[in-house]
Amino acid sequence: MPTLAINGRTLTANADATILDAARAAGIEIPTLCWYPKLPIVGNCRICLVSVDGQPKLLPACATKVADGMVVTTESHAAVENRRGVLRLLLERYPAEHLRNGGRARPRNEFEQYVARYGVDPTPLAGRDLPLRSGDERPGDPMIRHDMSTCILCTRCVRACADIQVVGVLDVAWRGEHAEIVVGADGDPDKAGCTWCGECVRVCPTGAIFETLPRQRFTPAQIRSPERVVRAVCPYCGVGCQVDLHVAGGRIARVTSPDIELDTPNQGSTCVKGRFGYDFPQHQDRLTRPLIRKGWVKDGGRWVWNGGQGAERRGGPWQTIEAEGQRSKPGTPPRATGKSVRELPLLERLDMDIRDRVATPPAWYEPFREATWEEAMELTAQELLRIKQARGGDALACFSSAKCSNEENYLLMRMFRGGLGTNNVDHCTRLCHSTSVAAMQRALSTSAASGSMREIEAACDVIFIAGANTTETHPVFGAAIKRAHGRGATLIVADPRRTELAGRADIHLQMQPGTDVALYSAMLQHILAQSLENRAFLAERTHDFEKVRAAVQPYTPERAAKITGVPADVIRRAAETYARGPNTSTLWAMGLTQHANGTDIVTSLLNLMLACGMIGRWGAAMLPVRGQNNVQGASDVGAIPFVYTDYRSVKDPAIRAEYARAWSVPAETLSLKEGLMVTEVVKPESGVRGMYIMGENPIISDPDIAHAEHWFQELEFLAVQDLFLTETARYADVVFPGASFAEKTGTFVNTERRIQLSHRAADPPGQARGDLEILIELSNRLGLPTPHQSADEVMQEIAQVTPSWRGVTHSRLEGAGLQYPVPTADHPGTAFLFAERFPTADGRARFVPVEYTDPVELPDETYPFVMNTGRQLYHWHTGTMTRRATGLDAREPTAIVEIHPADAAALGVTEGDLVRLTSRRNSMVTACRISDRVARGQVFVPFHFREAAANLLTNPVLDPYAKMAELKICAVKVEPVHASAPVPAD
Amino acid sequence: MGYPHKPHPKETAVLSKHFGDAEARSYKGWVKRGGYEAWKQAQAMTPAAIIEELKNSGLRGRGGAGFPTGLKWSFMPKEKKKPHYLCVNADESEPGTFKDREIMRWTPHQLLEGTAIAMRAIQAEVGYIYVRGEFTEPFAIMAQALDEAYKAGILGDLKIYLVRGAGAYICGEETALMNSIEGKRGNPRIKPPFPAAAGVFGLPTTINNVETLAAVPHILKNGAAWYKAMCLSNPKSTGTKLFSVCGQVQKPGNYEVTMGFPLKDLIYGMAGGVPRGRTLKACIPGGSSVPILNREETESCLLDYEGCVEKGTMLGSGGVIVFDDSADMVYQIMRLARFYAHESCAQCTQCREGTAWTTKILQRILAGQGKSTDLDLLLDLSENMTGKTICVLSDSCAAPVVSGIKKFRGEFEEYLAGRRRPVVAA
Ligand SMILES: Cc1cc2nc3c(=O)[nH]c(=O)nc-3n(C[C@H](O)[C@H](O)[C@H](O)COP(=O)(O)O)c2cc1C
Ligand code: SF4
Ligand code: SF4
Ligand code: SF4
Ligand code: FES
Repeated sequence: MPTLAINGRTLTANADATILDAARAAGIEIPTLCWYPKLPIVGNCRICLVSVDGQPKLLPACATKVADGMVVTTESHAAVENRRGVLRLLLERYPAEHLRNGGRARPRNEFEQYVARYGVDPTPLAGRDLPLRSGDERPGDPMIRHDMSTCILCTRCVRACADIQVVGVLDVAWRGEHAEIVVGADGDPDKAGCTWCGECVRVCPTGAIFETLPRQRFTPAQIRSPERVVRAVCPYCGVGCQVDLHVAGGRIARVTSPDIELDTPNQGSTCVKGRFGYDFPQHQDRLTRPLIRKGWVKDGGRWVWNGGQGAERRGGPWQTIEAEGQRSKPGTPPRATGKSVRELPLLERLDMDIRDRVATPPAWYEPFREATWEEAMELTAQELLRIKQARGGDALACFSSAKCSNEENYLLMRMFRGGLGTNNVDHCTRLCHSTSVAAMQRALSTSAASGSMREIEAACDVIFIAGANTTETHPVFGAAIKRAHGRGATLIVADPRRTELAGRADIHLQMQPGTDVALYSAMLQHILAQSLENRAFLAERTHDFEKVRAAVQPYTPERAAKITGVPADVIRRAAETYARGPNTSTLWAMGLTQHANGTDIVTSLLNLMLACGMIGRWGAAMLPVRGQNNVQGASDVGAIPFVYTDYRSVKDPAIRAEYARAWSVPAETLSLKEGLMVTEVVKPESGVRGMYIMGENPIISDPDIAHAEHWFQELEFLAVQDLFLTETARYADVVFPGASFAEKTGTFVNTERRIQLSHRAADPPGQARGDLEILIELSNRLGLPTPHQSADEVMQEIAQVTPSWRGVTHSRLEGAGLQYPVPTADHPGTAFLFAERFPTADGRARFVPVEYTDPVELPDETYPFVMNTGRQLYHWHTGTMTRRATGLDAREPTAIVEIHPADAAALGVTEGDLVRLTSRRNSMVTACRISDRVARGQVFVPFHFREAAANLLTNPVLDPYAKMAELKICAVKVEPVHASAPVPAD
Repeated sequence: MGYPHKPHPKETAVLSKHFGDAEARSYKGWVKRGGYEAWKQAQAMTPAAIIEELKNSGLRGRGGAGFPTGLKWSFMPKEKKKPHYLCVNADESEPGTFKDREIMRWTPHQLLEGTAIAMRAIQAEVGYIYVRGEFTEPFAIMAQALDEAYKAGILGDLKIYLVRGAGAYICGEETALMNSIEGKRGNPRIKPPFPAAAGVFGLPTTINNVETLAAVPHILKNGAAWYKAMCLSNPKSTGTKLFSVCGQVQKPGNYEVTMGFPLKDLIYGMAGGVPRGRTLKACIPGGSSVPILNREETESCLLDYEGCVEKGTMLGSGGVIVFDDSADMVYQIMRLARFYAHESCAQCTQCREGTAWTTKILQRILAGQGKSTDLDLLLDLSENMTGKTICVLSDSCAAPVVSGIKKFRGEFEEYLAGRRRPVVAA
């Protein structure tokens, strides 16, 4: 390690450290403008130059490596003169008035700080020799705007966009004094592929690139000095990005992302949802008081229903989702068709508050009256207990929430198991990774990712991604994958759609939907034929391989080519690349899992992975990419029908006894019978008559909505705890107003088993309460002793009953959190699992042979298209939050179907035209988006939109093991909706 | 430019020996004139031996910096672990310099031969000849020559590609040139890493000027001692050098002289001196980027690296720009500054803002609106622009300004005092 002297202090530094690194490590400040953590060093601002003895010129501290014996002076006369010179040159073209009013609402203008520190006076306006700087401005953008007069051309934004997010929207155009930051070739961020992630906003040192919303809603003073800045976890996807919420006037004013911390999942980045999707908690639609359905009255100390019966019982002045599907609706807005901002001076989007369009219609509140908490609690407790007494605990069920914290999920499952004696506890994992869990349990007795997201960038040679549109659904992880690919890792993508990653991939296996088993079996067949399997791993770490060897024999690449449509030699090439690694990571998501044979599909992928030994090493990770920000945690803490926390079976009396003790209830109150799953509950034969739903919206997310919606209407009692009067909540008897992510403290588990702590930033609006508080009170009213006062205390109980979380406390989670297993109080967490053994009884992985079967519904003459469903970058799940987030909804305000240009031409439709999609179950009207991301003969429908709900059409046939529905494939027909045959307007 | 002049008796025509001889352009013609013999000789030598010969010859880079060529080649990794590259800098865009153009126009095989030898010396399999975008004719000639050389099979399995620039002076800077070859914006890179460690595509690269490489075959053929003996003054500057003489002279053109040749004789003797009735006022001896000499300095300057430094300037690329007493030095300096302001790649603050601001101030002075503080401001800016940036374009802009104000301050003051008629609009 070289030893050097900086400003007279002797320091040692790593050999590859720069002078800047060494100085900052020692607390010596050197000004920098173009340097930024993680960005490539370009050394262009020249403000960091320092004197080094024996060097004729000043040297850039940010770009000069330390050397033994170096003597550095950071504030030498020459260095300071240079800095003042740089600042003066920049100031010559910088709006001087900015300096006077504190840099226009920019809390941390690095440039202006240096101007003040080095005492440089701007030239008075009149004496200016040069014009202010300029650049592309993004006029009217609802999320990001530019004020390029304050740009100092440090190019951080350019590099952040190109090198961190790997998008490359921004660049420097022109030369000399005309150089400026431009957005794409013609100023249009859409055409340039902008994803509105706001990485540029994050890195800009002067606020030349800034967020639009805060400046429209908050005063400069509020933005500059927020009341609090609170660390939270992004409420959307399973990446679990850490964000800082700035609070002003009790509301979130803006979101920034934490400075670089090596272990946080995002290392300072976010995607558009994390950075701009934060204003839904302040939406006018927020529920602020408990609601009770009119018709419930109190009579003689008991609540009785004396409202309408039959269809009227749960009716309301709204259209069913089915009816809304038939309505006419706006086509896609013009921005999606490739206009140029410079050609059409854009719609000033800011004044058109799109949020109101999707807001809860006032009529939806009509069947309800506002109630007190006492009334709502009393009624709910009475009805849940009544149904339990009348029909038994199993006539009740709850849907827990992948959007709620571990503590909340734990308390809800504790309430249903301990208080109501039923295991009918499930959440949307059923429609997410339940098949993965089933397959992983079968093969490895595990339920979560084996490795970490950062492995992909750090140590992985081949990245195999199946059925995961990572750059849209897990954008920050998607960017890491792109960086890894740029760094030289080979990318193989198996996906029927040409997603962004598929477009970049070295090998894209564009197979027919649902033919995965044939594809992975053929890859394995070829690997075996080439003797590329990992023999040592097979012998020492697995058993039953011979069964799989026999099972895959018939799947030659040629045969698979016929089934999947992927050419045989592409399959061979992918197989060899996968097997040769040396470190191959295997990622998958909904594209594999949401099938009626999802468990088999995942199993065939696991067979491939195990045969090549691609697990249990740093760089060879098994990563089922989890969707919601706490779908992993909700499952971990037992919000699934078969297990308590830590996946411990409800059937085992010994385990039951342990929980009974912890909850101070007699063991017999806890049922030994496995409960019903989400997709089983919503069926007439389930016997469920009363439900409690926390933060889920099954009427949009369940398959075959028309049936689901009908089922919910038939319930005896329905309580919903949510932020908004959702499509499901409108059928409730009682609606509890809960708290958003920003209004509670709790923990969330991301896709790499990382438990992270999110802090309360603001108070819930009106009388809304924290969800934990609601559950504690209700549990007590149901007779289950629940003495807990805070999330912290709940976590103590979770740790006590959850062996792999035993070392977890809230205080230990501050910072980057912990990756479980964390068995003891001083255990550092586990970055990757299975280095030596699997958690199966004998420590070995089990191979399970599987056979290819055709998808349940194949296209035919009547229904010639295969419909695929999924998510978009700007929306989340059933849209409850994102459609009330101004910026996000402005990007994707309307429901669409993606259709291949050739199919569209054959149908005679163009961008924005309405079409009717019809499946064997139902039909709905939506607008076309022409895109070659989908293959011919396929259409893609995002499921976020109430007005054209994809799940009206999906097939409710279930996976035999995990009871997952076939959400990814159903056969549909597509018909243009002609003006001559109009659909009813409204 | 038309055909070259007849060789002047005092010239030492080595590189320019066949200028004007159209037959020398073709492969056959070149071979007839002894071409590619040095290349054959080189193929029998080890790379180390070639480098040694170059070191002994004393050849220094003709692109501007004058770095010893043999030494530069020796920086390439001896043990080859990754592909090596050679870049040939034919971007010649320095105002006042037009020697590489003539080498390519008349003797394309001379350059190809030097390129091949250099590639062998540095063990490169790929060579890029980066030709200034405006050089359409030289490019066509080079393309034809390359074609012929390949058809003749003389280049073996060396891969030589011609790349066309797109009209940016900065792409002549070696690392900007590499970025440009890679298809990126032509911004110079921070150094280290130097090209020998990480050059084009991040791989070990050597870059040489056209004239440098054109001299290489002659050195191999005639021996290092022969080359080294061509020296009229300082032994550190050897061989011959092409000087492009332009400006207010009677016979502008390229003249090849032995190192150490008096500048005075070049201007008055070969180039015919300033127009009749005029007197010499100033001269920029090394292309637009070097400090200006006044008359006394010009007349006593010896043309080699050391001789120029002695006079406070640099040999640079050898573009000799001559001014007679009719020249308005303020105007001339403004034009130089404007060139650099236009060509700055705009990365470095000092350069992007400094070159533009300098130009604005000079224009203001010329418009009769200068302020009394302007000369100090200019000197201050120039100080700020010198030695602080990624490449030396910024310094190049400052050099004529600082030397101009020092040597012709009176002319500036006349504008400032309103004693000269404004020549540009405000
Ligand atoms: C702004 C700038 C422009 C340059 N332009 C050229 C050029 O056009 N041709 C050239 O040969 N060298 C040019 N150079 C010098 C090259 O960077 C480099 O020193 C040269 O190609 C090395 O070759 P040599 O060692 O054979 O001289 C330029 C340098 C700078 C800083
Ligand atoms: S917009 Fe901001 S980040 Fe981008 S170059 Fe300008 S000052 Fe730097
Ligand atoms: S990647 Fe996921 S967790 Fe991160 S900001 Fe985006 S939605 Fe939130
Ligand atoms: S000195 Fe000028 S031309 Fe050179 S890198 Fe810096 S900005 Fe570009
Ligand atoms: S911070 Fe070092 S040059 Fe910009």
